Amino acid sequence: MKKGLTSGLVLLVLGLIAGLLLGVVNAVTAPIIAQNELREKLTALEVFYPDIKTAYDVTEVVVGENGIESIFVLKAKGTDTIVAAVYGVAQMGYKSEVSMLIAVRANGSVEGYAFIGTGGTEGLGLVLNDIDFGMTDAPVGDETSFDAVAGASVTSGGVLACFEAVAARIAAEGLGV
Amino acid sequence: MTNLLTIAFTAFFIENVLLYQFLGICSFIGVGKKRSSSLGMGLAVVVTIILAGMATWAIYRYVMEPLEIGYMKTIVFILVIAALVQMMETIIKKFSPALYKALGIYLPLITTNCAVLGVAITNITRDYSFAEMLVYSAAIPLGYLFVMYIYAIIREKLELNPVPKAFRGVPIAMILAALLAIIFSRFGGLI
Amino acid sequence: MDFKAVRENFFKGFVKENPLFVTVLGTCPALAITTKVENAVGMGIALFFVLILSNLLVSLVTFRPKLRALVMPVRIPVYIVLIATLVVITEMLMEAFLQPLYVTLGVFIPLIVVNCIIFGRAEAYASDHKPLESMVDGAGMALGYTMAIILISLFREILGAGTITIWAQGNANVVLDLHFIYDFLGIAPIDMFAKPVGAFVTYGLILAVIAAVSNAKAEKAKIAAAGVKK
Repeated sequence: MKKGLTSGLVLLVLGLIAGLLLGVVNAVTAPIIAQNELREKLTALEVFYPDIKTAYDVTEVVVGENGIESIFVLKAKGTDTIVAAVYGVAQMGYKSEVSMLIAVRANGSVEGYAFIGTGGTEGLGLVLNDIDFGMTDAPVGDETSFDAVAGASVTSGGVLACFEAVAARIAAEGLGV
Repeated sequence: MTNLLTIAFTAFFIENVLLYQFLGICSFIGVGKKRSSSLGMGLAVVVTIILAGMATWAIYRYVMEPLEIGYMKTIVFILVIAALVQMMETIIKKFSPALYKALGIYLPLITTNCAVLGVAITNITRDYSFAEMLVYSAAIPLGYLFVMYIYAIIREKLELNPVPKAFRGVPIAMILAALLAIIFSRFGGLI
Repeated sequence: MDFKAVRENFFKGFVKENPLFVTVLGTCPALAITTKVENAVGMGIALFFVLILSNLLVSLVTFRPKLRALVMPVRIPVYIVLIATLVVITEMLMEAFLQPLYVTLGVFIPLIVVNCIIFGRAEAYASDHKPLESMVDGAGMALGYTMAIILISLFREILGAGTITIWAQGNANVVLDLHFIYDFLGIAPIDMFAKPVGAFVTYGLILAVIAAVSNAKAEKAKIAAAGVKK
């Protein structure tokens, strides 16, 4: 019995040391890994703002509510005024999920939008990118501008839901944050 | 449903654990010499991967993710697998000596079989749901068993043939695996 | 310490006891990631780091008799924890500083935990040798293994893609383009070698060549021995 106890103790001590060490290394590497990930995401946002890495200070806010996954807040370099915000948003369309990026200017109009994917069905995201939903430059919550008949009727419901979710968020919380 | 079928077919044929992902090659070379031993090892791997897949998935989802220690998954998973294999060995030994005789000798080898840890980690990196995880964790080892058994049949026949001296043993086994890999790579055209 | 013994110990991993070509260990990554030379180099670095330190740690916890008495009854889980800790550290460092390579090597970085070479060296060597000797052994084995996978990846990349990507991470971009050879011959690179099939074929053929050479050597030795007898 005593033997088993010492053996258990040896393993426990070793486990604690290992856990502690890993925690320390993680504390060092985690911010760098997060930075790498942010840089990768910024590359995706270059569609809307080609000079995003140099001309803006970008912070990412993770939300995870009402389909809004995260918000990238763009401030002009060195200032505190919000120039625009890019919303990463996903909504259920017909059968599958539509996930997209919507860039909104400070005055609430749409700078642009891009589709990241449609749940599982590879290639459909690319099809969506070819369709003009008529939302560019329109106020983000303006359903009358939304051109739902443009071909992909099966998924346009999901796309509209994405815009509505972003509009609701801005109405409730303001741009960014 | 089609999603699950796709996962199962892909895991079994196209991304076959031995011929495409190259996991568990050590056991493939060693145990794949005889039909009986390939069957025993294959079945032991099937049971272990399904159990380990469920255990590691649950631990990651309900313990590690809430605690935000996902980065420790490698170390936690290997310990879980080692403990699981040990437990299986004890239980089988106690309740079914016949089964222990058939599978027992392969059990200690399974902890270091990369397929087990590989599947556990892939379940997490691919962000599988419970059903998807279960299908994947079953299809992968079944594909392992299938390929290993075919391989063993061919290698048993090969024993009776005059192989050039330099190719005897592992080299010819590798060439044989290459031929099987060509066949299996063609399944990709079906999806 | 005997310098000659150390040197011999270091070089045995290269040829005489090469983990991949002689003892046939660590085959999974050797087949899976050898599509590019760069991957083999990266895997080699990771393995080098883990193997040297795991040998050192295993030797440290089993070297002193008192500690050894404590560790021996539970040595397997102790080794697993030690090795896994090192692997997780490597994993995190690579994700932070060599992110693209980390993505390419994928699951094979965490799978270093179950790489038979590491466990094998811990059990067969480090557990009853001095710390420094164990580190030398680890370095030799890791370099021998790295050499072996670089050899496989050289064949596969030249034949399969017509390039030699030595290191293309971050700002470095050391890639030799050998397409002019293919242009000169008027053929395209053989795609098969970049596929899983190519891994099995290349490894099998290299093993066969090694077997042929050692067979010839043994034959020669036999004839020489017989000659002496006469």
